[in-house]
Amino acid sequence: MRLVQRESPAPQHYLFAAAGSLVTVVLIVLAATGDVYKAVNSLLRIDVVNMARIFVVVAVIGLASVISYRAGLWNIGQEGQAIVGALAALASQNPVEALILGLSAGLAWVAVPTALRVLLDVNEAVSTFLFTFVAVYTARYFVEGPLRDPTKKGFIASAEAPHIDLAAALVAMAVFYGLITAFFNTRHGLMLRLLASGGDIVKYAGASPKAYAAAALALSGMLAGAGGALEIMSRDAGRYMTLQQVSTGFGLYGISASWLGGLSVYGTLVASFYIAWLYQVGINLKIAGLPALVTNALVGVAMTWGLVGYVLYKYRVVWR
Amino acid sequence: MALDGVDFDVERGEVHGLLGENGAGKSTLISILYGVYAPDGGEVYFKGRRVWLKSPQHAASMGISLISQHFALVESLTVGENLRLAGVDLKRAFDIARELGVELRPEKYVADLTVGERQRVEIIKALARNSEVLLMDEPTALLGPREVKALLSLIRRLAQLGVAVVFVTHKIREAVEVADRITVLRRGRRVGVYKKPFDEGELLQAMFGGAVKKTVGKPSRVGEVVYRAEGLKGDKIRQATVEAREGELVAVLGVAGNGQEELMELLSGFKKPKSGRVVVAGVDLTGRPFSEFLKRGVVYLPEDRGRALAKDLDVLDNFKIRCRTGCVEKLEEFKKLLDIDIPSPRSRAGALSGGNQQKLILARELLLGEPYIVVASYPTRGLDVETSEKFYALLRKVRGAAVISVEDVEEAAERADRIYVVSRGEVVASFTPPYEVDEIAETMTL
Repeated sequence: MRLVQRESPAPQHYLFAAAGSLVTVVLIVLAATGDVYKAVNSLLRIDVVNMARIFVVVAVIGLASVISYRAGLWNIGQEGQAIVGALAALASQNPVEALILGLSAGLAWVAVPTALRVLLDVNEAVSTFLFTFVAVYTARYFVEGPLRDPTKKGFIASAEAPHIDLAAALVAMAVFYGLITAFFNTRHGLMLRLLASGGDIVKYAGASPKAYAAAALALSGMLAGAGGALEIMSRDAGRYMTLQQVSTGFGLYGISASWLGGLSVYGTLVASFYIAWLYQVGINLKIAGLPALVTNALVGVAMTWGLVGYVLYKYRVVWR
Repeated sequence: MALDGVDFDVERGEVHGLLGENGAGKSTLISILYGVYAPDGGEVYFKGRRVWLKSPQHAASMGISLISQHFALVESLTVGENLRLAGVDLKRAFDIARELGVELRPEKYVADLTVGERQRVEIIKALARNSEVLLMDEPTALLGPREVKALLSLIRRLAQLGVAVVFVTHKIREAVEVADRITVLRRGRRVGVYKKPFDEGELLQAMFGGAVKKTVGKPSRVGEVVYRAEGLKGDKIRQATVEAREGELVAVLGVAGNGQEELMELLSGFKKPKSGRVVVAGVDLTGRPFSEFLKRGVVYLPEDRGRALAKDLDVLDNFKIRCRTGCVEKLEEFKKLLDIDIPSPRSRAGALSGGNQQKLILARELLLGEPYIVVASYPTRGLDVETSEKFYALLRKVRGAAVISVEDVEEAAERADRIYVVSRGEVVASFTPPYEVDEIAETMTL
């Protein structure tokens, strides 16, 4: 078996990947519940508000991933950037200010991997990933120290983040999508996409590959930070961090959405909706008594299918 | 369709030239004969029996070998180790080398061999594995004039030993010199099979389906020095001084691997020199970013098309690297002008044939703006004769001057107003007309 690159990409294979993912999820749910009624119930019971909230967060972090991967850069530290984004939001009482702080914190968190990449050519996949662990411990330090809420007796928790309406969160997401879509259609957007073909071609086009690599990682980190801020602010209740609950897993969900969406801006939007539904299915299964991490397994399945879709989008399989 | 109902045969002891311009289907036919692609229709016969070539390994096991431009040799190993790695008995390899009159030095590292020497190792390797058919895909593309002559005579000896050789080329002269028969392909179809004595005009007509208008490469005006690179030093380039006057076409000649690509990078400003100066129209641009060179009207056409084309992006995006407005219309116009085969502006650039990629780069770099200085690395490599003619005509319209590296000494002598020869990282000689081709060729191997 060989993979041969297609003359033109074949986007229809994402439909195949989506169908494959759906069938696999249904089979997993059927196997896990062992009961058709329970399975159907788990698959179809929807909490619209919660799903919309998850959709927004996944879509924003997914967009962060799209920017990085379309530029051929491997930011896989969205989780860490989202954590510091959420952490920054805890320090504010105003949702707009908190969102700006989230963007800034994401930018700050990606700054070191960016500098390492641009100045010393250190692989950003490694550094962004490692910075996720640093983010976890940093957040725990703040939860236990400077941002601890002394009024919460009996357990260690941070101060609460301001609340953002679901509608406002949706608007923020739409603004991000609009801006990034417009950006991709500019000359700067073209340079960023050219970067995926190597730094030389960006230089050939008359621009600085280092500047665009820095810009791509910075934008990606900022959006992931914003995603983290939106996540904590859009909760109905419990808009705080505890020592045990610093990381939420939305970084992985965002990365999965971007691949399942074919690294396309609007494809990621659709894939985020699908992942939000998987998240809902995971909650339903948890209520039915299955382990809490089942959502991660389902999203992992979606991501695998997303990668299958990406490969088939670019390559055709030759069976000899 | 890359190939449409093509019949092709080669006999034992025959050199069969496969001639055609880019996109004619030569590579596709060779790929089918070597089991890389399965044909959509038609049959393949080997020694009178119908065969289904499942893979290159399968073809090799039957006695069909491909000598491509990209050698299957490990550079960090010696010749002997490479042969053993390929399962070749060294004694047999020596016997074949002796029979062919080729010197085989098993202790030498492949990295230290010239392109021609590597090619000869590949040929011996193929023969030692009992190959009866040798498919040679543009085997002279990376060779200097002397090595081309040596290769052509080696191919004749191979034929005398009973090997069937398929010699793929777009150079009529080489095909005429070495082949017993020549099959001409055009746009995926076989135009004809020609036997000795060959008529070059007839072959040219068959390749292009019409007369090719040749431009005489002499300047209409030669003025002041508009470009001067002085004492340039890079990683491979040890010392190079090149200058061009207004209206001049300057050729840089050298056997592959002597630092020409780096020299062109240095001349165009794409790479900063370790020392030396680059002056364009009286302005010292030494050490300035490439974008500054672009602003001054310097156009660079690199040898590696991947540097000038993002192959994963579509044609239109690639065109927009230089185009700002009305890009679809301009692309359409240039497509017609240079006969670029682009299925759609949204086609992936990497899916275009090598020649069409080159044409796209030429259109974007030379037609969109008004270049002042053109620095081009092997710009006609992979181009058909007609497009090469158009390219040279475009160079003559450049406001300042053009500096191009070419691999063919005759092409340089025919086109250039001045020739610089590069050898071992240095510009070792410069020539002005009238040229003595043998003398130039001699300095290339200094």
